[in-house]
Amino acid sequence: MTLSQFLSDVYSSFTIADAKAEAPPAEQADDKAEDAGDSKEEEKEEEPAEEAEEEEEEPEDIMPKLQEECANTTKCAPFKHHYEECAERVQQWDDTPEDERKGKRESCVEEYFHLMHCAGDCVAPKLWAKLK
Amino acid sequence: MFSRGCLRQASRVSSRSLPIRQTIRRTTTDAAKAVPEASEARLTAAAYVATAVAVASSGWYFYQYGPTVYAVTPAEHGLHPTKYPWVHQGFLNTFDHQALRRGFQVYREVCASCHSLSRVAWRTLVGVSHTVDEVKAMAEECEYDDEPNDQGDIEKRPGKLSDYIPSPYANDQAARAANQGALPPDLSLIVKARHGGCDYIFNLLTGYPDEPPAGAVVQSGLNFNPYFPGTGIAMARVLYDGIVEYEDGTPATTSQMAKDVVEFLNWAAEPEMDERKKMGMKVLAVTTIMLALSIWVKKYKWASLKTRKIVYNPPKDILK
Repeated sequence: MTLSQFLSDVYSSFTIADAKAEAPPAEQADDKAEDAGDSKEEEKEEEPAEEAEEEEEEPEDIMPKLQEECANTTKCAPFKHHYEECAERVQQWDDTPEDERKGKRESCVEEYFHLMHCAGDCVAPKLWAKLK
Repeated sequence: MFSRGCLRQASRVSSRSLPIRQTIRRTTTDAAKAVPEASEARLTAAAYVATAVAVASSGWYFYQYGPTVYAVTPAEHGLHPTKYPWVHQGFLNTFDHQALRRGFQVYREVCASCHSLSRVAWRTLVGVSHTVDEVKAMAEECEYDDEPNDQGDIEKRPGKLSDYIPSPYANDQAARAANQGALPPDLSLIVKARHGGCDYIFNLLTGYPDEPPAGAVVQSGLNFNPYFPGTGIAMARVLYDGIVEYEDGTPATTSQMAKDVVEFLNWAAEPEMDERKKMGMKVLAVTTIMLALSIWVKKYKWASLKTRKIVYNPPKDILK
């Protein structure tokens, strides 16, 4: 927090600011009414997905890319390595015939958690810098 | 103490049994040599026993109370949410009200088809994220029960500012029936109601992996989400890039929408936050001034007492 922001916060806390409840002179409240209606019709969760496909130009999320980058950093590489090893073991288990399998099928959830935990800490500040 | 006692006893025994002086001297030295050897062995044994008891008892204690016992697996516990630097969580920061406006749009167009927001009235949005006219227009689109007419029938009327935001289902049973038995929780207080608050919800919304990790067991009808305790969540991923179109032109990416809607839900859970922080600032400022004043007054009042000097001049002719 910068000093000027702090001072302006202090100033604003001692002055009475008007809550701008009234619309600004140029009226653009009407277009809000249009998109309000169609949200009512959506009943199922699948529908939004179809809508997204119809969109012409889709903005692309940077979060998956950041996660990918963060998973490859030196800090998170061991976790990714562990997860990949685990995934390989599971794949091997799946590939072996049923009567030759040993033990239970392994779950890589724990390895995945460690990877995501590490990647998440790395993603957070970078993502917030990009979002509005 | 042990050894000294032994020595004393040994010397007493020797002096009584042997009368001749020289023998006494010789034997006492012998006894002094022999007896400590025996007591040393006993001492060593005692030390071993004491050490063994100490080690065993601390081992037992550790076994009993040391390790934390986890009754749940990490998967059942769920992944802890990543902490994000939310702007509104600073001491003096308000909500980003543009984000609230966008967040309400996301709630209305995406979440509202399943989740209710039953504790938020239309009027509360006025001056927070929308203007009066906008909120009135939105409220009027919804139908509410009117008062009974002359025949006693209940008619419908368009919504007013004082109405609460309508729920998608009539009751919890209807909500369960429409969602394969899973009840979509009411979102009015969800930020306060979940461990991890904003971070948890943001992580939950954005945390759906493209496919569950290898070996994970996902029950039919459930979706994998690492942040949900148990990892099987009935809600599917709903936020996809470009699912809503923001009126201010912000690119509606998944993470942007999640951030906006979480901020909006935080506002819904604690709408008094902005005012509360402002009040806190005022309280701190006023009490600081009062404290400074009271310190000054105290010093002023006590100045004469603290700086006085009491002198006793004894009368010079006291002995006379």
